[in-house]
Amino acid sequence: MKVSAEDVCIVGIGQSQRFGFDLGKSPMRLQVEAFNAALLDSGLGRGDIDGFATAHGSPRGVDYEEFISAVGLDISYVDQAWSHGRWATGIVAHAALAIMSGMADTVAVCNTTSTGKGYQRYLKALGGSGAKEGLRDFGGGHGEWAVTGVDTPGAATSLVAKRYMDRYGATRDDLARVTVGFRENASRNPMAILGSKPLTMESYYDEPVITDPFRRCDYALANEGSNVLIVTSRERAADLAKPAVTIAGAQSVRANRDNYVLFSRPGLGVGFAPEYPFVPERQRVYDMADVAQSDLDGLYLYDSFSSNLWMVLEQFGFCAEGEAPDWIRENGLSPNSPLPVNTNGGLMAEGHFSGYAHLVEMVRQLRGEAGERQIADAHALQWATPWGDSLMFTA
Amino acid sequence: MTDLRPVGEYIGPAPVVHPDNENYWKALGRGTLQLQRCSSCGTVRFPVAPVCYHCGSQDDDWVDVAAGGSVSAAIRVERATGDSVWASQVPFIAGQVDTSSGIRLPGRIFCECGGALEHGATVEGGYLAAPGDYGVLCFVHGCVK
Repeated sequence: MKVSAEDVCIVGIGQSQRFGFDLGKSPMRLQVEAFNAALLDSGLGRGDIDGFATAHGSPRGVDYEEFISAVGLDISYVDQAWSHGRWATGIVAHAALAIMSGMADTVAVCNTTSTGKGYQRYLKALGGSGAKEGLRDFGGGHGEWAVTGVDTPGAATSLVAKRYMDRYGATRDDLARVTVGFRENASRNPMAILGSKPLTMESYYDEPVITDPFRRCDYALANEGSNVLIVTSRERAADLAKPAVTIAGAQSVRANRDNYVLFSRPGLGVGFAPEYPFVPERQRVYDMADVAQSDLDGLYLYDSFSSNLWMVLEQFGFCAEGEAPDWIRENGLSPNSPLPVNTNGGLMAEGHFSGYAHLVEMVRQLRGEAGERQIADAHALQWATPWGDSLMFTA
Repeated sequence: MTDLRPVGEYIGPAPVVHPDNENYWKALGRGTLQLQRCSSCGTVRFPVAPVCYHCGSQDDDWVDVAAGGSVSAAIRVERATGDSVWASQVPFIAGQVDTSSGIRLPGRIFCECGGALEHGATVEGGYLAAPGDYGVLCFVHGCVK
């Protein structure tokens, strides 16, 4: 059966029982917890799942065959992306396309992470450092290039932040305001790994510098946990208990020489990308979803580093180039702000789940299930990343 | 044409050298920065690639390129969180330089005064000697004698 784009929705969400740095549970065990929680949440049974989509986790999750065999599923549509945080939008969009085309009726989207200091110590690493983008001949998409000493995404992105600060006069306080804002949001999220570790504009400066201008707290966490979303058609959703959340719009990662350095934005002039006055393109996700930016009730972004918020706000046209720090100072980031941002605490404070925990949070918010961090009357929420991909969820 | 300043022995992860890119690393080992110029449209490209990003031609010549210029952005790495080989080098400065040849290039920036952290600081091109007669591009601030 073919399904219209506006009739694809999310009917179940689930997470591992906890998020943490070292949970003592295998990626498989964590993913089973999240998968079973999502089934329970949706009211569906195992036999209803005929599609399976996963990004293999970062740095290591669960391979699709291993999971499907272990759980005893019978799957006729599979999609698996590599071990990287870049594919949350693509995996969900492909799940929606599979349902639209009739390739699948109900798709489980799964993502799980483990860490070197956690359960990976029992496992063989998937690729290990040899799989990192920095070992491409001349640097990877994070902007890192091993022989320069800028060999980590954090170092490369601090170069992005430095260029931005030099060019537009942004300050260290402007960076701190992002980090402190996300940490404060995490304090209202019981799942957030740093939820009980407050950070203020003063204590921010007590954090150690890793790659100036970034301090430790400007980085996302490296942690363990699992997130699952169940995607199906509106017709199927009509029989289920929870209100369906519509996948109203999507746009892909943007790929060209202007966008090669992922945590930058076009026009900033980082890596080999040219520097020029930046005016954002029209973003098709708004047209597809028929949602105006002014009608958004919340923004969720891939916040692997604090400066990512500057890049997303400007790339998607929330403000003009160089104005993101002022926008943040005036808007705030809390659930009560004019446009709440990362109410879950994001990758920097809830935990790095490559965006999948953000998507779970968006579903929660649109159902009105977000407790003390609930956005009042939330109808349209956007997921966006510095590399240009986006999803729109509506209720 | 473009004699780079010798800075010393390279310390860091080994360059990934293979036939497609070996000339880049060998030229640096001789103290010269060479990049590919498209035989069809004349675009000088970085990174090294078997094809021109501007016109798609696969024909090219290696040409000498000036490596000195001004700092576009530079950071100070305080902790080696990636490859542990960098632990012996921290703190150090690295960044990207807008070279006088019009191409922006990345590298370590040797500087004792911190002046190279400023956007627009003038630096000259340098190279570090790596095993196998290869070289690694770097930059040197005027404060380094």
